[in-house]
Amino acid sequence: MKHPHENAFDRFLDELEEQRLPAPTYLRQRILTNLPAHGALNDWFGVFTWLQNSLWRGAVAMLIPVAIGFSVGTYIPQESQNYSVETLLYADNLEEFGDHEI
Amino acid sequence: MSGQSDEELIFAITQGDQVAFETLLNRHVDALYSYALRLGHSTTLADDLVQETWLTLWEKAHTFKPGKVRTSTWLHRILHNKFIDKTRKHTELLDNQAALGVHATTTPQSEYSTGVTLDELNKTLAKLPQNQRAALLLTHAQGFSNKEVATILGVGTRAAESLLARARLTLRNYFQSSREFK
Repeated sequence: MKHPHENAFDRFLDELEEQRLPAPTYLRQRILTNLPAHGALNDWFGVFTWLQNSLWRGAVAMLIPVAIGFSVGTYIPQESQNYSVETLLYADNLEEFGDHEI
Repeated sequence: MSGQSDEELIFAITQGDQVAFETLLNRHVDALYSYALRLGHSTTLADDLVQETWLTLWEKAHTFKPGKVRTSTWLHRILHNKFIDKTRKHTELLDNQAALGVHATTTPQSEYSTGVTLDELNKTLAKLPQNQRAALLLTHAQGFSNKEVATILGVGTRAAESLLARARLTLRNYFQSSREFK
């Protein structure tokens, strides 16, 4: 013989299986009347896809020169990176550069 | 139209066929509504979830893969994901509604058939954590297999089985300690 709480548990599961909660009529109507036109939806989806692709291509196009610049920058000799343009152009003491003849 | 399979109807929906949409709606809307209502304890939330699920079907019918999952599994998965999204935003609201005992409108023919009222059912279900409640409902109320429950919840089959076992244990303990059902 089952314990009372086991019976209650079984009853609960039985009830869960048997009880039906039908969707109200107003909800069915609301769903059907609020459907967007399929064609319009596809058009908007098309525009969105085009925009998304364009943005991706634009982002990649911008990243390429940055990547090239970064790669080239890493190959500039370390010595020349120690001096700014101003230092090189207006240096009073050219000895600093090790060439007395200039 | 009514003799067509779900897959045929979904294909027709991808072509913008509203009659096919209505036929599919009539086949599955009650099950979805029932699940949404018991999951969220709110008629407003259930209305929104069900409407958004059908709107998603209308918009994304082309993403359905026939033969991979049943239509009802796919629809329940869409609804469940929407429920998760909404509850992340409105966790407090749901907790408050559960605490206040906001329940579904009762259907006279479903009451007292086995001595458990709809109100008692909902109160008991509200005691379960969200994921356990979902596993229990999908198995016992919606009739899905463990594998389908796992697909709907987005977890592995073992995890789904574990959730179901824990839900049953929680309920057994509840009934054991509750005077209402003795």
